[in-house]
Amino acid sequence: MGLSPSVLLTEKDLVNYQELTYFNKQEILQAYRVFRNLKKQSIRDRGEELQIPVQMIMNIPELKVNPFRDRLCSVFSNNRDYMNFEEFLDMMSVLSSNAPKDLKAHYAFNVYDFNNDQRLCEEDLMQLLDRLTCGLPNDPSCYMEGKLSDKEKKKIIKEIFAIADLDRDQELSFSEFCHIIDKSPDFITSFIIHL
Amino acid sequence: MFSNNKISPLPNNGVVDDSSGSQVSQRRQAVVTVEQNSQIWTPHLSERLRRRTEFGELKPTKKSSGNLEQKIIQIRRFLREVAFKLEPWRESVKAIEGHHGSGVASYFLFLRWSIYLNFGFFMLLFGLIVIPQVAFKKKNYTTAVLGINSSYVHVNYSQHCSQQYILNYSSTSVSEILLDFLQGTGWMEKTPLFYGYYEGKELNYDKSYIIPLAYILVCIFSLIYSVIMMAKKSASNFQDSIYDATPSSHYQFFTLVFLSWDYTMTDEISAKLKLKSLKKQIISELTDKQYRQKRKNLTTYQYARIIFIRVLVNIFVLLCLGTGAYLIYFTTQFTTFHVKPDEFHGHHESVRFLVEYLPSITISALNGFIPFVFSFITKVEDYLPQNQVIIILIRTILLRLASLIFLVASLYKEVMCTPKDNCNVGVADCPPLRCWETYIGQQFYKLVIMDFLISFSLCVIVEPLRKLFSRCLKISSLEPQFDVPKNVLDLVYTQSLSWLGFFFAPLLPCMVLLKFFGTFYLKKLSALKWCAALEKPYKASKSQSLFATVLMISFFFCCLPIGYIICYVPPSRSCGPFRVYNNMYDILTITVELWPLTASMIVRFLSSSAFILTIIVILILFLYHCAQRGSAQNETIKLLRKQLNAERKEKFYFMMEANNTATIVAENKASRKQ
Repeated sequence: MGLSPSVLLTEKDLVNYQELTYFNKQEILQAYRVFRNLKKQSIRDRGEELQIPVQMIMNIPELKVNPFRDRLCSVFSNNRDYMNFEEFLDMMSVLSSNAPKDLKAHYAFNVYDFNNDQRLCEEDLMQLLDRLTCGLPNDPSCYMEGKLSDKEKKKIIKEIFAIADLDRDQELSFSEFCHIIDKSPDFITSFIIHL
Repeated sequence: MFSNNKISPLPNNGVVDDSSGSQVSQRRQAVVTVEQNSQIWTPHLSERLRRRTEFGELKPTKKSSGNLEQKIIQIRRFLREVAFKLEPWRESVKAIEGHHGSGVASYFLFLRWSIYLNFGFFMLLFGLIVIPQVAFKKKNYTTAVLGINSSYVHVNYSQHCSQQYILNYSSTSVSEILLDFLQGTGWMEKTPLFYGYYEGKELNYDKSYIIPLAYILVCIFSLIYSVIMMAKKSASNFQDSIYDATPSSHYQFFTLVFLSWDYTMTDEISAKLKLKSLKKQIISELTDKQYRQKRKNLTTYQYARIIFIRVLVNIFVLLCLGTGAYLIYFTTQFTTFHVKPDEFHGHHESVRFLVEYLPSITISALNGFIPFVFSFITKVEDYLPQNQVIIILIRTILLRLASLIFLVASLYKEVMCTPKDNCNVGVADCPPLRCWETYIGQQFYKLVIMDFLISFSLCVIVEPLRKLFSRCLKISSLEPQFDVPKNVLDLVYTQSLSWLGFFFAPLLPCMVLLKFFGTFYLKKLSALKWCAALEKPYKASKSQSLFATVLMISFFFCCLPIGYIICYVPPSRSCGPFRVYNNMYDILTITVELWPLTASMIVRFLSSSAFILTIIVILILFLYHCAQRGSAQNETIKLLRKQLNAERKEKFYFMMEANNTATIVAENKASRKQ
């Protein structure tokens, strides 16, 4: 069996993780395998804990093409440059298909809240739209010509606020976000990463 | 219990942006703290773990709940692990999801579910009908017939007629054997595949096993099994899909922006395509919006023109359906009536083969060709894009169902053709069908084979060629795309064949099972190798509920003819388990009559019209109650929405007030100091 990479994962840890995440044993081990494989390329030990740079986490195949990968990592690593296994497992657990909608909605809100002010304002939505059409903001050619014009973006944002912004303050709060997410059954199938 | 620990482990909220000291940001900060307090903030996994080990916090109450609950949790976890390990094709579905997103993957999940469904279906029929008949045929076979003294039973006729049902075939050449295999005739006709093989007597080993009774009960139970499976499937879907009565088009921009990125994507090329297509979609959605606003102020003339065109197109669609109906009717009649077996002398075998396959070819051709026409003419009609897709889909579903209905109707006409001799075989102008059930089974057998051949050739020949041409000639429109609705309709069509045909060919579900099995790998090949990513992604949830609905509808369409045949159509005298009975249903009546008096009384009461009427009335009342509750809940939702809005305004107002007072107080203080 594929237990060999789990040398550092004790049975007790496994039981604890199973109770605290939405994963079963195999999935935890699979996550651990993915995490340990990154270690081969770079290690940075802080005491006993294994820490992996966020840059490397962002390059695992499951995240590599995602235009929000840096946001995902920073939300789950508390804005640090390193991630430990528990944070990684937490991220994968929230994005697994077993996690409930509310939890996913919360993290989605945080991912899209680019300036971390607990509000989705116009600025956040602008950046969201740019990322949706061009990917991470490191592709200058696309950002020069490929992205939507400001006018188009403004129009879309206006439409979104017209529907979702219930108190008309030109921002979306978490509850407003949830309100609409509840009506979009696709959310639960699209906010998923299979390890 | 411990699920409570899992839900809402919200992260530490990010750093609050308070670079500017303006009023707005102050207010914002205040609102943030208010919201913070109102929600339960649970820390990260590592923190939770630490608390658990150090303080014993968040631990499931092990001591109080005792050993038993622990065991249950362990067993449940173990079962989940087993299910996880046994889940077939997880990797395949994941790969497809990474390539095309969850919409296409939902098709594969549906396909996998259909395989489960057909597997159960096949096991029921195989285990309870085929195996007893095949394995115990020579062992202690009695001639006893259930209810031999009853008025429904005609043993003499059927004995006389069974002797006339002889197949004369000479299996000399390989080609002939192969052709017979493809048509289900000749040596194939008296195999367990078809109805005609089964005997109408009891098998006796210790206890008697009554084949006709088993046959009818298993068939009815299979249908019930299908309903249960479908209900289970659609229940989970409907919970998600029919959540709100307001049309989803209101949320299109929201959906587009927040939900259109599929986190399951892992393929780099597809991801790039996806980014591009998202941009296209956003722009088209914007132009759409403008178009819609323009549509609102149409002149009467323009409006009348659109209506006129739509009426014309609908008439055309009906004409198409009518032509299809006539073609199916004509070809079925042609194969049975006009081409008598003796006319084939002198013709090549392949001609006979083609004629035999004519109805199946016609149906498949219609199903393949007419949807193209539909999608073309619907463009003329000037519908909104998202409605257009639905309208094409509805028309295609209609066509598919209609073609099956036409087939069943023309077969029915042949079977019920009147001048018949006392063996229930047509004479004079009627087709001499010694065993009409087997004949119908053969038709469905041919349809399934045809269906498989077509999907096989599409995947293996047509799609690679299209891909090649599109690469060479640089025409991107030639490149095949994975059309989810069309594929689902194909699947539903095959499933309907299985439901319609299983009564006449008990091993048909096995064929369908094999077909689905092959289809999974073919479609996987097609999705991963030949097809480009979809330009307009198909929404997973929408499709799931739609699939379930379409399947349900076609199921009930399939049940009707089967039920009718079981209850009213006299079975053939010369073959099959029901050859001695007036109607197939009689076997149930006879069994009930042989029961003790009270039991048969109860059954008779349960099947009486008075009881059924009562049940129907109760069901209608229940339905009404549900509808009422639903509408009441909708009202509550509206009310709550208003309340939420009002509350927010109030909060906003108070915040402003607090800010104002704070500044006034500060000013006062400042002025006092001065």
